[in-house]
Amino acid sequence: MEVTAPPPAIEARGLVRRFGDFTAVDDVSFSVAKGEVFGFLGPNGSGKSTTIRMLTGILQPSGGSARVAGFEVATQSRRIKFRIGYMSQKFSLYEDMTVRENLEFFAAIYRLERRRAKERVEWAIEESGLSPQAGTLTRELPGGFRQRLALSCSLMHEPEILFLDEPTSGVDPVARRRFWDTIYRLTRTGVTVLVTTHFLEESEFCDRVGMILDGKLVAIGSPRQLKRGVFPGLAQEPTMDDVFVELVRRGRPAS
Amino acid sequence: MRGFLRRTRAMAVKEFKQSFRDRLTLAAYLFLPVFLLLLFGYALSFDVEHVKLAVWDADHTRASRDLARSFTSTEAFDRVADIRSLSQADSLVMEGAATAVLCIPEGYSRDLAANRTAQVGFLLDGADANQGAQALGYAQGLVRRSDLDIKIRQLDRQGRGFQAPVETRLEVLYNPQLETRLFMIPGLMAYILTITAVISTVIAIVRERERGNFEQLQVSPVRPIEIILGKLAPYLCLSALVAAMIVVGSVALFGMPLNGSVGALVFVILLFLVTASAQGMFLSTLSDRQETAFSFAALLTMLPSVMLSGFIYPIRNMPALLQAVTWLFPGRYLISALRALMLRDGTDILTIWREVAALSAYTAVVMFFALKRLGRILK
Amino acid sequence: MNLQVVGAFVRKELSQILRDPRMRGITMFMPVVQLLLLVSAARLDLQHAPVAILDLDRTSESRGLAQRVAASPFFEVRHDLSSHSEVEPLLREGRVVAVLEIPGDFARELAAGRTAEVGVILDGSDANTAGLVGNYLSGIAQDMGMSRLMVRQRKLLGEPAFPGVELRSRVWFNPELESKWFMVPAVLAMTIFLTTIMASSNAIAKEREIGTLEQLVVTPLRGWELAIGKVAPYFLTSTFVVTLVLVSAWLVFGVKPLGSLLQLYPAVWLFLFSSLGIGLLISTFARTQQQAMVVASFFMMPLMIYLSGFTFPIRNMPTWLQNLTYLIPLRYFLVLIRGIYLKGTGFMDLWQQWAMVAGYGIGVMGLAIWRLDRQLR
Repeated sequence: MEVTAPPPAIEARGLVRRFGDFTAVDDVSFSVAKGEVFGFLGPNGSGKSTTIRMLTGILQPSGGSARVAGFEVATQSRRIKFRIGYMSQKFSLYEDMTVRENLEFFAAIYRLERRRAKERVEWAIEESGLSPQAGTLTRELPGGFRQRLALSCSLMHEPEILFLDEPTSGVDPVARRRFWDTIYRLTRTGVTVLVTTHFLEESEFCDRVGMILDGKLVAIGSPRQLKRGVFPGLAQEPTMDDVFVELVRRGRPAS
Repeated sequence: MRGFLRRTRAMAVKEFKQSFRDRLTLAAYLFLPVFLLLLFGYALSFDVEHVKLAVWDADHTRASRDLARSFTSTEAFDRVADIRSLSQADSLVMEGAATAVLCIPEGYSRDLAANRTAQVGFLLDGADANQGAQALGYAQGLVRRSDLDIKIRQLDRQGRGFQAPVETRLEVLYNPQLETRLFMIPGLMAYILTITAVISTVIAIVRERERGNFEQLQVSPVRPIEIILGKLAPYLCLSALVAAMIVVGSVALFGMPLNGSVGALVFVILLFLVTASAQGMFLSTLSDRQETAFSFAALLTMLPSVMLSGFIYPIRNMPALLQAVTWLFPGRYLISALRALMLRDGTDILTIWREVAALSAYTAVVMFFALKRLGRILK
Repeated sequence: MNLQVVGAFVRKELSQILRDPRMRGITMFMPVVQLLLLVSAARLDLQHAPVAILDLDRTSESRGLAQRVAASPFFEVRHDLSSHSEVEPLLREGRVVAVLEIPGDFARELAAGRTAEVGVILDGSDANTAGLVGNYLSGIAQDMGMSRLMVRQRKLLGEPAFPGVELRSRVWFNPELESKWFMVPAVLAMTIFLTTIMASSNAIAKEREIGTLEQLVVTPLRGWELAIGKVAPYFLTSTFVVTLVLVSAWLVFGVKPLGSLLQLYPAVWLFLFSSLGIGLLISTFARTQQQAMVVASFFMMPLMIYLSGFTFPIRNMPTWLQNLTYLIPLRYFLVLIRGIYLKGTGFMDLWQQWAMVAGYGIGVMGLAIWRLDRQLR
């Protein structure tokens, strides 16, 4: 019996982005189902961030199209913006404002009604464990704390879809672990997550992984599928490291 | 020492590449001197010219017309209106359609014929005090000249074979045509170099502070002084290039004579660049935010180097207290040194020893505090 | 218009500006310091010009002339020379601006009824001063000769009086021609312009450089909400600054506006649209703070300072440049604020300036918001 699948949370069809002569993203198509954690894996400069920036409306695609939360990226970006959260590797916070001020600011930007905003700010401070630092200037926080604050800021409006661009770079392993616990808790409430990373072991946390190399999506599937697909019939379970190295080798025969 | 030079050079090469990759910034640095040189050379002047004059001649005689003509035949006044009442004068000045009104009352020629001193009125919009004062002085000069002519004519009529008792012979040294632009170019040089050297130094250092790039350098064996020198080298070279452009441009385009010693000229300009960089270094220790440091630098250089340096307004006209304040803005030393070296014959380093001494002392003090504070920040 | 979003932005900007004590000082009090320093700096007329006198005659006549020079408020006789060789070094070192040379036959020629010739040697390197010094010294010498002549004529002929003409001047708006009356409004305009253009040109460039602009792009924030949030705080700070400047100009210099404050404040607010709008526009083009600041300080500020009529009268400029000054909003604002301060001009007298300041502000701010909106989409 055929069950009509719910519309995907994210759907990219032949996305292309060029910077001058250089093609950063070359014909990338994929879709992410509601509630899924989808990981983009690839070396630095492979086009992961560019893809995510096109999906969030920061960059205009040079070609192809994409739908996010059921809306067309090219024409309905404003409706999308109410439904997505975005956090980048830079943890773009206002360093000369306190933790609470940052949260309050983003609550207002997302037009949360006053009482609701107050609740969410308290929730965020609680959830990120920053209560003792609520009045501290952001620039004085260590990296892991900033990361949690940045995540909280992008969650103020309870987005349906969360885009995370290298969320754990520059953060120690303990904080990274904690971060992923938070992400899992979120997915249980139905939030879809699209995350890019170059930490290979992190891709094990994802439901599905897309491997990007030189702007092309070279492989897609669950971590298990990828391992089997790349090394069929291998007795010992390969790590994602092995898969990655092998794919890079195949993708770039010259080197 | 060899290590020092090598590391400093490495820093400088990196800075050159980084600073001038940004074409827009480079273009702005080079635009400023070209633009201002042309502007000051060809277009700007604070001389009294074309003051809008309304004439109210109630006498309607040959004598009164002569007097009016003595005003309007000069460059200083343009006759824009003939009026018949004081209320007309009022409204013209209020709207800004006229800046001055010459009133020759009825009975002007009758007074002269009766050997009386006739009075003429001169109404002036004093809103722009400087232009007003100059226009008034000019008008007084013209009337004094008319007064003299009238008296001489009278003496002539008495048949005494009259001669003017005293004549003055003016001899103008150094700038015989009294060209204002030759006077302003040294000030322009100081203005441009102050902006270029101070602001670029502040931006270069504070940008790194804000981004936290110094932290990385602190763990390397590079010493603070090497970092600073490396950072400043490209901007010093750029400022020197700008100075050369101004000197060459003003000689080629405006016939700026380089009457004094060229060696001394180069020396004092280079000394000033060091002074300005020291100022910039000091200012860059005041804040680690680009915005704040830049605002400081811009506010301390933009207006003061126009107003408090002798560039346009003579320092001796300022109140004593303010004259003392001008000692803090090193542009004034450069300007007076440049005026001597560029315009006056036979000047050399000895002529400007006061300026050189002041600049050196100023630089030493500012540099000392700048390095002390920078050293603490970079530690 | 979502007041909540704009309000949050204004609160954020204000807290960022006011948290840094140095920025607070610059924004709030620097204009007052500038006012105090610059207001009495700008005088072009001749005062206490240092001169030397080379008296080769040493008679009571020549001393009489020297005394007239010394008594003049324009000059300060610094040196009394006795030989030609002392002249050049004094001028070369810039210690005097002119030397008055009274020839050895001065008294003899006067007594003989011939024309006595005195020399004035000027340092032309300060052309403006040299011109004035030449005129005033000649005037003093001629006056002296003329009065001697008239005294003698009267004795000889018993002629009771000479005809003559005398100038009676009356100066409107600023009877003493004190520069402070003209500088207070000008410095007020300049510092407001400089501080706001600096702040606003940095406003977006800074967010772009530290990456927060990207964060704002993914939110439903609108361009005009961002723009209003960025510039509104400067309406508050500038109003405060204008008040502070008004009060201190009144207390320190006794200068207070003749016109109505109900015109002054609206004029300032309208002008802020222009200066903040130009800054924001720069900010939408600049990729880094450095670019924004360099463009503001190397293009905008000099252009505005020199072409606004602040130091150099616009009517002295060549026609093509005069036409260019119509693009400078500060030009209209200066006329407006001087009118309000010094003349107490009514609204209708300067309606063209009002219209230009308003139109310019709306135009440039609109352009900046349009660009911001596209960047946020």
